Formats: sequence, structure tokens, C-alpha cells
Amino acid sequence: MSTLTVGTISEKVSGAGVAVDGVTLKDGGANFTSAITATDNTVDLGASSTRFKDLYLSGGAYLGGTGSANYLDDYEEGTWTPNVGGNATYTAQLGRYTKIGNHVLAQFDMTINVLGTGSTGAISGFPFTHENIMVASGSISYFSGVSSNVYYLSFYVINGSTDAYLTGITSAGGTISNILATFQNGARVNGMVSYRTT
Amino acid sequence: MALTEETIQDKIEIVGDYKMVQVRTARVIYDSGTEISRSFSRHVVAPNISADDLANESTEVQAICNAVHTDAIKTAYATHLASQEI
Repeated sequence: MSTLTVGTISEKVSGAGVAVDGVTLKDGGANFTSAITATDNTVDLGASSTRFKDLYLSGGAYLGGTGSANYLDDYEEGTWTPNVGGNATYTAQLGRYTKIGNHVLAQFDMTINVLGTGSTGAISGFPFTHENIMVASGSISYFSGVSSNVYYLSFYVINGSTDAYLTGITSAGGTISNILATFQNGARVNGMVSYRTT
Repeated sequence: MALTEETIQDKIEIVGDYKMVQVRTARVIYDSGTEISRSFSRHVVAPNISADDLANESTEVQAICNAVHTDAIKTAYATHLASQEI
């Protein structure tokens, strides 16, 4: 590699700029002796055919606006373990979550082996604390082996908690019951909920 | 190439009115010492955790829970849960 020592590189044609094919900055990096002119809302970062690959941020990104309500500062995927507390045992405890900003999407599939001292009407172990403002309604897409004559089964995550209470209807045309005593040995529930965390 | 793994609690947070202790556990895979994969699982320790269950937590989590889950917090959380039937 040869070294070319120069003081200033100037454009040959006024307004044409200077094209450089590949630049490596070393030691002191780049020093700008005049302000870099930035124009609001005109420059794209990448393009449809010239995309960047990965983006690493220790902070977040403002999307669609510059207010705190537009600030996305967290994304995470992972697992959690649904349970009913006590000394219950299980044949399956599957939980997955995706957190986008302050919103959590949690899915679960739980089959109780022996209920023991576990709860008959609550699910615990959700991966993030629910905000303490209003309950978050979830949905159960499949259930079997439950103790009551259940026509409909659902649940909600409690404010300021990681627990959820079951709700359901146990007779045709009946009204919904809260903290429905449903779980027993062999019960299985599969569901999901979307809620806000603190 | 030597694959190794370790499990670490890489984030412990205290959140909310009832000092919920949120714990993120990371399973990290290394290839010859270079991290190539990191996956997460989460659980939350509430003020109403039993003594037996708390004993199963890491020493660090136990210490945090013992510090923040005061009797006042435990009482407030129990009262809160009892009031949450809709």
C-alpha cells in the first residue's frame, strides 16, 4: 500500500464534489472544520436496493414523530413458564413472548399433570408485570380436561401483576363467572394475551 | 471449533408499585469463546412468593426480594390482588 500525502483535496468541477472509492479513517478519525449541514426530513438511510444489514442501537428510534409516544426503545423475544402455583406438576409448560416497546404478546400452552395445591382459577408466571391501569383481556383458543361444565373460557391479566384470573360460562345462556374454578388434574389450556407493561 | 454455553441472569429489574422483580435469564452459546447465540427466558418474582419458591431463586434475586418486598409491600400487594376481580 502506497501513501499519498496531501493537504487538501478539492473538487475539479464546481459543484461536482469529490468521489472517493472506499475510505478508511485511522487514528484521529475525521475532523470537520465547518458545520455539517443537515436538512430535515429529506435524507433516506439506505434504499430499497442498497440496504444496510443490521442496526445496533443502545438507545431507541423515533418512528413517525419525534415525541415520547413515537419512541421505540425495546424489542425482545423469549420464553416464559406458565403455571398455577402451589405444588402442581405438568406434562407441558410452554410459553413464548414478544415485547415491542411497552407491549407484550404472550402465548402459552399448559397441561397440568397433578394440580395438588395449585390454583383452580388462575394462571401465573407471565413474563412482564402488567401496568397498573386496567386489566388485559386474553383469549383461550383451546381447552380440555377442565373440571367445570365450561361453555366458554377466557382470562384477564391482573393490574400490576403477572397473574391472570380465569373467566367463563358454565351453562347455556349463563352469565360469565370470575376466577372460575376450572383447573384439575389433566387440564389443558392454550391461549394468548396482549398487554402493556410498565 | 468448541461450542460452550452458559446460563446467566443478565437483567434484573424492580418495577411497579409492588416492586415486582423481573428476571431475564440468558442462555449464551459460544464458539471458541465468541458469542454466536443468546436466547432469553423470563420470570417475575412477586411479593407474594412463598418462602420455598424464593429459596429456589438465585442468591442475588433472593437478596433483592428480601430488600424490596417489605411487609408493607406484601400487604399492599395482597390487598391489591383481592380487589382485582372484575
